[in-house]
Amino acid sequence: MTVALKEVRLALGDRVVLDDVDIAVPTGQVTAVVGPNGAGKSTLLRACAGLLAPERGQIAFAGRPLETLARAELARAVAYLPQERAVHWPLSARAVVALGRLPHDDADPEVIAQALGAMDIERLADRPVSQLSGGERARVLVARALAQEAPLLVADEPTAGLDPAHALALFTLFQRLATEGRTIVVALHDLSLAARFAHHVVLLADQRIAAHGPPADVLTPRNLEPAFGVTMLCTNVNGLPIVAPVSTLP
Amino acid sequence: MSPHAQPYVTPCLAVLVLLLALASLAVGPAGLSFSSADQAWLILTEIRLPRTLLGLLIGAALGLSGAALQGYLRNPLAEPGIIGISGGAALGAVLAIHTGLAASLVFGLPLGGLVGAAGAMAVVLWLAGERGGPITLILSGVAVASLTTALIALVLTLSQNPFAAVEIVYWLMGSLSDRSMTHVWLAAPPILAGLFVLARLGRDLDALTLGEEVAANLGTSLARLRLLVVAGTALAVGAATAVSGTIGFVGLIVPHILRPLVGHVPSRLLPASALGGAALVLAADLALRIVSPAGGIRLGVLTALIGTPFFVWLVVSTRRELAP
Amino acid sequence: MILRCALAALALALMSANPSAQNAKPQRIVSLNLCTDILLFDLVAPERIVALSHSASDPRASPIAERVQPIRRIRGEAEEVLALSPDLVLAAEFTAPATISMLERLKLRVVKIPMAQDIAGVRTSLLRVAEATGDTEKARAAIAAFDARLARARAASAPEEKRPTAVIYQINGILSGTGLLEDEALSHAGFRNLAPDLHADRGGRVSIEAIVAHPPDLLLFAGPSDEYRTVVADALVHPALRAVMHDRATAVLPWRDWICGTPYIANTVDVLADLRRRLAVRRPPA
Repeated sequence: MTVALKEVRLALGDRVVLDDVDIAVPTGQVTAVVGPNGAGKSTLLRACAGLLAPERGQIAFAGRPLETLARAELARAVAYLPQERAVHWPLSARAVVALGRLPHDDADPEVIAQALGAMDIERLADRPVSQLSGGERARVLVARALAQEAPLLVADEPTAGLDPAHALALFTLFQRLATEGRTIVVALHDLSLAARFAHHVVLLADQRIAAHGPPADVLTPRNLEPAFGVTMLCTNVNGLPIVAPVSTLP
Repeated sequence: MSPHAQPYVTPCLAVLVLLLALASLAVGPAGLSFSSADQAWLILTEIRLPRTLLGLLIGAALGLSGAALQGYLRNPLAEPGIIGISGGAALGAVLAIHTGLAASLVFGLPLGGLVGAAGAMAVVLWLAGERGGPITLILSGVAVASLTTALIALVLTLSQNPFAAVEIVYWLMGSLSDRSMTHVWLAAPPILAGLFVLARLGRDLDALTLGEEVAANLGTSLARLRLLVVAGTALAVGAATAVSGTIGFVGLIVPHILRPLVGHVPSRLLPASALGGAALVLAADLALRIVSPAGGIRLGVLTALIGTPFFVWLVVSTRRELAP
Repeated sequence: MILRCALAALALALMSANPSAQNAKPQRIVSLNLCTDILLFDLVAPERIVALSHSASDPRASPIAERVQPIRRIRGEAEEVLALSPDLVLAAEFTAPATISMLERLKLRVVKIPMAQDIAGVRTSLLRVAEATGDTEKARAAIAAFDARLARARAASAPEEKRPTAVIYQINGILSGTGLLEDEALSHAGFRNLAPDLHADRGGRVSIEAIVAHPPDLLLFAGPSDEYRTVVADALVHPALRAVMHDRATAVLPWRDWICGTPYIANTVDVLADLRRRLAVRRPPA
């Protein structure tokens, strides 16, 4: 499912966060959203999830404007993973994942089992999430989003707190989902991961989209250094792209 | 409790409530020995039956609204009494009586309670703000509760009613003694309406477990949810308080005890808390009728005696998680 | 000689004109309490009363309410009282101790009158007021008339076992138990107070069920139930009470006559005696 933002201005209260946003998020691809802290990544992701109405411009899902979509339709169309990993009651991992089925009004045990398996948390299924480590809890929440079976998955820094093995596993999963036809939008800080797994990168800086396109085009020192204020090393090792910060710019 | 035992919680509670209701019909100064069939009928239908029905309705209202409030506010300390809703309802009822509204309108009394409860809720939510944390909410609730208590005392003292002091006690520490079927007819429709509204919020409260944004993503309308929580609580607690005075802490104790038994899932906690609340109120009222049959000790006093140490224990044990 | 007689006459005249030389009756009396208001009002001329308590004009509580219009009513704070320069202040035992001690410190004459708990107490209270105001003769006459009224009421009473039963049911579910003023009034009128049989708790409270299980021949409501807008009067209109008393007798017993221990209790006794006679006519005791 495509998400298209046309001449969009996003604001939080009085403050304009992003302006002149013009992007079309393609289906069947992983789109990475990168940028320094405060650049507006979370805001952009909320807009892509249909949770934030633009002050100006239009957001369209598969061609249909946001305003025309019923709440229930949107719930089945988009799965959103916020940065805050709140779980207010100590539900079991399985119960949390089952929440992903709410838009479908069924508790399909197969889908839930699949989601648990995909995130490697089957053995934790009946443990209360309050007793899980940060990384395990993060995986439970991703599993919830998977259980939603939505064509569009919007995730805000899902790899924060995940060890390298699980971070790799997650992005491998995202790639697989993309090839199966889903649209994935991910915000993250790990530029190497973005370079390796994303088909499409959006760089945010100075309240605008500074650059967007294939990783090789966007993740260059020319784009990254003014955006992040650090010197960047962009290179390739054994076919694996590496993008690493070197030192802060004066 | 293991997931396998969880489905039995609600049926067990239902059986408990039924047994307590039967006991409530059997207990009284006359016991089960009546001098005539007429007298038996009179005592059972006009005295014990309304008391039992009110215990069921009010207990369910308090238990369910406590569970709904805790789910909505994501705060295990929320409860209609503590956050000032019962106080608002009592104030509304007092004003309804002393302005003559209760006498001139059939449903004037529960209407007063309803408006008072809704008003108190609106003030608390406004004071605590959109992003208010749990402690801010409790503080706002305490402020509203103190204010309504003072206003009740003021209204009654100004009313030139020689029984003002007695009536103040009635509203602040409720009681089920000597209620009649009139009170049942007055309170039942709004309470049942409120229970109906609140009972259907399970899905949204489940979604809210993961925070407001995820709840919105899962299809919950936060504005609609807020409206329904306020309306349902105002109806249930407003009417309940209007006919019995303030009975506190039921909505705090019952959901807290039952939550682990239903796997902490908010939607499963709702029906369990309604039954649990009914059971607690009936049991407490029964205990009082056995110990002090003339009604000297009030139900509100008993629930406060049990509830306050419980509340203190709760605050102490969750202190770390509730840092503002 | 004439000069001595004239001087003696002058001295005599001066003495009789000087109030402080006589055993003078107080002329500026203030009463701080409803019960002393009532006792005082029927004992002395209104010109000698400077102020009464504000309850004196409440028709629901005061039998003299209609007649005290011209007299000032006060709340009873020390400053108010002082401003009236009274030569006698009547108070009850439970009038605010702070007020009383303040008035005494200000050198006012304060007399505390005990509240009558029974009919003997009515006589005592009236005499104490009379001693303070200097009207003991009048008080004794009033007591004699009072006793005569009571004797007439008692005359037609039945022996203890044949007496109809009665209960006085107050707001907030309290029954008038034995040893109280209204209980004695019931006895004088020929009733047996059923309250002891109903096992009231220490506060005198009884549940509706207890009354419905043992209904009295006469149920007296202390004050009309809709007089005050108050929720604690709900019990008075309970359908079960109405049903069980349907073929028995109920009546309202306005408590303005018995809320204070004054000779007005005789009104209550007369009302009750009348009710008993009507009960006997309807259903002669077996």
